[in-house]
Amino acid sequence: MTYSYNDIDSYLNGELQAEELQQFEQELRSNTQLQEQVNSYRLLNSTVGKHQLAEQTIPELKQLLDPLTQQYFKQQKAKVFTLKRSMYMLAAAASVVLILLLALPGVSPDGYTVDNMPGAIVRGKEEEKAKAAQLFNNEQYAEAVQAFQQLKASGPADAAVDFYLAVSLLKTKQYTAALSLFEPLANGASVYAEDAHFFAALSAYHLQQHEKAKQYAEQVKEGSRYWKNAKAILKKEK
Amino acid sequence: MHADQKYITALLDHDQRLISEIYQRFAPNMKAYLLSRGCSEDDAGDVFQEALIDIYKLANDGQFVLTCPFEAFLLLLCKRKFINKTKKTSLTVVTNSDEDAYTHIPGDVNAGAAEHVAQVEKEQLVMLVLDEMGNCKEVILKSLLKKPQEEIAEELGMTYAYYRKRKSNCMGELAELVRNHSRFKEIVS
Repeated sequence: MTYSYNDIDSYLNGELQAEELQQFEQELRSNTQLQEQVNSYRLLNSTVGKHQLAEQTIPELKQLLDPLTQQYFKQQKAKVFTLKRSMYMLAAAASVVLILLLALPGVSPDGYTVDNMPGAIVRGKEEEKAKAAQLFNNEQYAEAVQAFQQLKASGPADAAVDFYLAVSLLKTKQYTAALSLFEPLANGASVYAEDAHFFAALSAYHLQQHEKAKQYAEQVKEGSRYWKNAKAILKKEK
Repeated sequence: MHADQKYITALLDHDQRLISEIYQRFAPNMKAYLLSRGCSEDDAGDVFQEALIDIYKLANDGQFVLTCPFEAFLLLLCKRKFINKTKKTSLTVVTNSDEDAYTHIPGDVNAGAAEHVAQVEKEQLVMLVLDEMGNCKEVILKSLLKKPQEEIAEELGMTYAYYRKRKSNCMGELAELVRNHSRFKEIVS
């Protein structure tokens, strides 16, 4: 017996009479084409329903994704200035000097950048963390140290707090305290472990703990954004 | 279920902390990878964000189970999206024999990732085909709304019996169009 999509729809909606249902299921057991049709009908129903539902909440999700995509992927567009001819000469000369300054010494251990701490704009219970993140992102590192230390003292263990506190300590040249935080991060399993290897090396380098600096710098992987800085530490520690 | 299922749940729950973690953990490598293939920064950001939205759609019914590391799934999805983008815009892809920043992903997880990506692409194809089905699209989309079917038939200006017949015929048509689509064969092969 041949079944139409109308029959399949009735079957899936539980609308077949007992006898019809029995016949349909009997056919379904042996007819692979019907099995395929029922499966694909069911799959299409769930796929379209699922996507239709998702479309309603995607704008809300995009509100979270857009700033992060901007932060991690997109560069600020540079302003365009019009220069007079004589200014071009000066600009060119300045560029040469700048290139020489940048190129000659190579990458320095301290020539690193750190991403902004995410979550600077949140509501409710995360407000204190957001304030600390804001201070960090505004490069107010001394204030950020205090804010993160309060968070660390009052809240549960949080690798993000430890990492950004440690970077703030590093930025304010409190190398011993920074190293004591970077070491467990580097040896832990958090998302900061990889970056912490470099920062532990850098802290140790500033503390003139040569072996430790080398040991952590050697663990920075080649794909890491801090690989060149780590190489610079190794070069200086030779 | 893989431990990285937490990132799927985070997307579904709009969990700001874990979504930030997704960017923090995976965006730098993904960006470096895409830029090394000739992708612009803007396009790399679009590819990454679109991939996350695709995963969100795939998992939206709460049934999706991640069987490989999230990074492997995301990487493969970004790669496929970038390749499709280059096909559309005739951009040149820089090819590299090694996978640069992704040498830490073992080969055996790629099978799981490939299965997930194929699922994403199949679902995209269904929605693409549906989008071109005119009145059938309206009938199918309305039929899936959480309201009495009789009410939907009335809204569409059809008798209930005709609406039911039309709906199942449209679903049948959609199934056939998807099955016969050239991309479907590509995806399942």
